[in-house]
Amino acid sequence: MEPNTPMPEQTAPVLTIRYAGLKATALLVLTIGLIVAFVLYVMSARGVFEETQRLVLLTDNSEGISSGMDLTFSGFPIGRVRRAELADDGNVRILIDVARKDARWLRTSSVFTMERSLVGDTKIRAYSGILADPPLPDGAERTALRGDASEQIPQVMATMRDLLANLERMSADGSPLNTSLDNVRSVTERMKGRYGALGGVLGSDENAKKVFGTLDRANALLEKTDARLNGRGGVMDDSQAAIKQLNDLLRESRDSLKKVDAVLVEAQAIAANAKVATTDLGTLRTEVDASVRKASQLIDEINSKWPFARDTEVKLP
Amino acid sequence: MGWWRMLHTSAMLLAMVLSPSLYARESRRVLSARICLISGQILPRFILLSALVSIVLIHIVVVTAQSYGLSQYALGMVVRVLVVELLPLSAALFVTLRADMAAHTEFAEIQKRGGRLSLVDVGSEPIRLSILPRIIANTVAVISLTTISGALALLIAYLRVYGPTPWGIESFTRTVGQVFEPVVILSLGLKTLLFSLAVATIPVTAGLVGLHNREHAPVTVPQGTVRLFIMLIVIEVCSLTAEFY
Repeated sequence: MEPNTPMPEQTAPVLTIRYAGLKATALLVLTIGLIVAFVLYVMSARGVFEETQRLVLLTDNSEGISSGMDLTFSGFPIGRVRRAELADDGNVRILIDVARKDARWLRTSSVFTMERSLVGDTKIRAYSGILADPPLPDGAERTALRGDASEQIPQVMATMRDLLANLERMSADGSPLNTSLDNVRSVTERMKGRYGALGGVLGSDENAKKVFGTLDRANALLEKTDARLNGRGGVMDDSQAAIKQLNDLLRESRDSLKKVDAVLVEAQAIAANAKVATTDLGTLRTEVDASVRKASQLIDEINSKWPFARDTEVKLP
Repeated sequence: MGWWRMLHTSAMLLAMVLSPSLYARESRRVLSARICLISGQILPRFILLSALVSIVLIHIVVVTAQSYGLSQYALGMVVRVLVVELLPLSAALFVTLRADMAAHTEFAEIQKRGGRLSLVDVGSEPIRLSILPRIIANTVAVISLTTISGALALLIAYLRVYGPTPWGIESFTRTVGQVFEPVVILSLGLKTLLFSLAVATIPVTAGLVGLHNREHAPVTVPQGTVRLFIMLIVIEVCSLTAEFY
């Protein structure tokens, strides 16, 4: 048999599966449907069907900026970076598409920041302090403020280096810190002596001994003073006698004052009597006035009844 | 069998697949049966397996990310690793095992009957009714498995991260949109297509060459398997290069 000649008996066994055509079509439709749905979903997720307005952020470095990353406002993504390009002046222009429905959060006074942390992507954030300001127009250009944690690493390293140099200087032989520690050690060693901390503070045990001697003398002096003050015939006894005499004097003064009080009471009674007498004199005068007035009326009446007497003069008693 | 010959034979087989005569009524019946047979055998097991693997991997990634305080990156990582990288390769390998073994058996039977096939004879019955439907069915199987398992993995990831609530859809959609950049979508589509074509043609090509060179027959089929794995790795590496560089 020659090669490349098909064998007549090589008929492939025909498979018989029920509804094979239908099942195969269903599988193909499911697969193609999923692929189409997935592509449409991803297009929708990337904002292809979304109505947007353009915002241009200007910055000096595009590190960490990639197409598709979010612009967030209060943690909610409201736009996505479409692309970043280099401007004629060397700055970076980041073109951002902001969804129309979310554009109301961006105002003319809004501030935009680009923050880059040590771990994770760069984040573009928008802050709108005054929501009453006019809305941000389409195609607006704003400068983005940059905050890069990794940029501070050299500064931190320089500070660390200074700190380590300081530490090294502090711990070197003859450094002030070491000298101080030596002094502390000598003081503490002195503290271990017979007179303890006092010996350490005063510099030597002799000085501490002098202090103790001074204390003893002070104690003796205090004892003598106490005996002079509080002993028999001391200052305190004299003081007590003087106080007793003073008390007697005060008592006598009190008695004298009581007598003066009694005299005053009597004087007060005399004054009261004089006041009553004065009151009685007033009453007497009133009565005399009334009697005279009655006599005058009587005389007037007699004169009117006695026609002979023309002398109308009335002699008062 | 050289690489050039393998590629040439694969290209000829693919050209035959595009022949309209293959989709005539009789051939279409055989083709449908073959698609049902292969996909029916593989699909349920693979979907179950991929769902289990997805649950485990998603759980590991989410919990690990949470423990490092990076939970906002967990979903993107899950989608990128699972849907874009692991599932297409797993589907291709799963179909490879099945296609390779079936090709072995089929060509062994043809060989036992003393038959020799030639690509020159396009209309020959074994090629038209057995080999070409097998190629199409394997291609469809790889694409179907990748698509369905990917959709299932996305669903599992959503449920694991947000739970059974509709409030995470917007955030989830945005994350998916960030992961699937145009380059990634193109890479995923091309990778899946090339996986499916490699899995469908290389075992058949090795079998055909084995029929021509009977003395090399025991060697050519394992050699075809090795080349298929090498080809899958090359495609995967090219895809990763396109996505990340």
